[in-house]
Amino acid sequence: MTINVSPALLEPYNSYEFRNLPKESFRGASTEFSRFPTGLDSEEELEELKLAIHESVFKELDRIDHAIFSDFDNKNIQKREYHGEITFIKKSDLTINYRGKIIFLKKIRFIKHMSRSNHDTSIFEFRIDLREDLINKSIPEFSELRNFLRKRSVAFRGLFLIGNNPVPNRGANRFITETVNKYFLCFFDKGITSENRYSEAFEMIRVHKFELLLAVHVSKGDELNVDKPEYF
Amino acid sequence: MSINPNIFNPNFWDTIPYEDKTEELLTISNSMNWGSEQLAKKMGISDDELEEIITLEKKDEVLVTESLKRFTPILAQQLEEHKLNIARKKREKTKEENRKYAYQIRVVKQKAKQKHLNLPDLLNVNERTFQNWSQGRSKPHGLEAKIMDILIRDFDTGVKLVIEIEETANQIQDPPHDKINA
Repeated sequence: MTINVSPALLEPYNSYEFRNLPKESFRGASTEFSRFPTGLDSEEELEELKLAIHESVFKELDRIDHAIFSDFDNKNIQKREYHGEITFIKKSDLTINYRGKIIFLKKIRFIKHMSRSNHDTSIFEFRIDLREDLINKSIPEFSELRNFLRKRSVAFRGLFLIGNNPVPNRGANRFITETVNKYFLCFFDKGITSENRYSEAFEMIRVHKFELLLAVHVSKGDELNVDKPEYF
Repeated sequence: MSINPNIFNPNFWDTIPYEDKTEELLTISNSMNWGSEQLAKKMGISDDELEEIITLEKKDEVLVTESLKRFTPILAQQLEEHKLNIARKKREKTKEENRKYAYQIRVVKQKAKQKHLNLPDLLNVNERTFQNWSQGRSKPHGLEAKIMDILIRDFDTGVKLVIEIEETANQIQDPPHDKINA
């Protein structure tokens, strides 16, 4: 099956996923947004929460101007990883609309831009962690959610590449009118999977680089950014 | 233009729903890397008050609208500077690449000289053009660029190729007598 690019994962945001990635690419992470988190949960609560969080994530990703994505090191936090590589982290304040109320997450380490010395590419990751203590106690609508998070926290992650071309912001954004397309490789809940997802992602890009480039070019007329920037 | 030009119209924010305005406040704050504490300070309110505004538990249309009017030009300017910065980095990168390329051409010329070869003659370009290449003032194009790349990567193969091209061209121009008479 040829690798291609899905329609928007949630309308009207500029986030897509690769389809027909080789099944063996990821252990424990799902290449399909609709099927993650894998296997472990069927709770309606989690499904509703998952949609609410990702609506917020995709919206926030679109609120980042293409210029910021194209020079991501500028003003973002530099961190040296245990494996020796440097990553860049963008902190953000984020709101999640859940059951008619708003969860306000402050200064979360929202996007990580990472590389590996033995690979010539770089990958973005969004990170959302929800714990009981982050949910406002005074809002009655969140009591069930707090109970849920008492049993298990949520650590949603998504690995993605970006397009090089500025694209019109399709969401109801009033200020930033151009962003970049986000092409997701996989989604996972870090609380559930402990597999080596990042290495798998870098390896998958190395092996299937040209198929990914072609998929984006054919499906979206866009140019996939797979190169490791000079700042790494 | 990635910034909506309408935001510079003083009446623009008056037409936007309040919920959208609170989201745009966060867009500005996140784009500026302020964080909620700094945003609250800039708005002249406490962290708790900001939280109430962002979560829509409290409504302050005037404060939110006025803040947007104040902050949008700052972000617009920052994004513009960011873009200029990217353009400057690109220019510097190109300049550095050109400088390296010119140096490599000078190395190739030196190697040719050691073998008593005159590269401009072999490539059929005049001395001045070659000098411009070796000083980064211009670059070879098309077939000349391809040959130069080979010379840079593998000088012996490149020279062999250039000589073969030269000999083949000479043969075509001056075919051997026996072929003419055949």
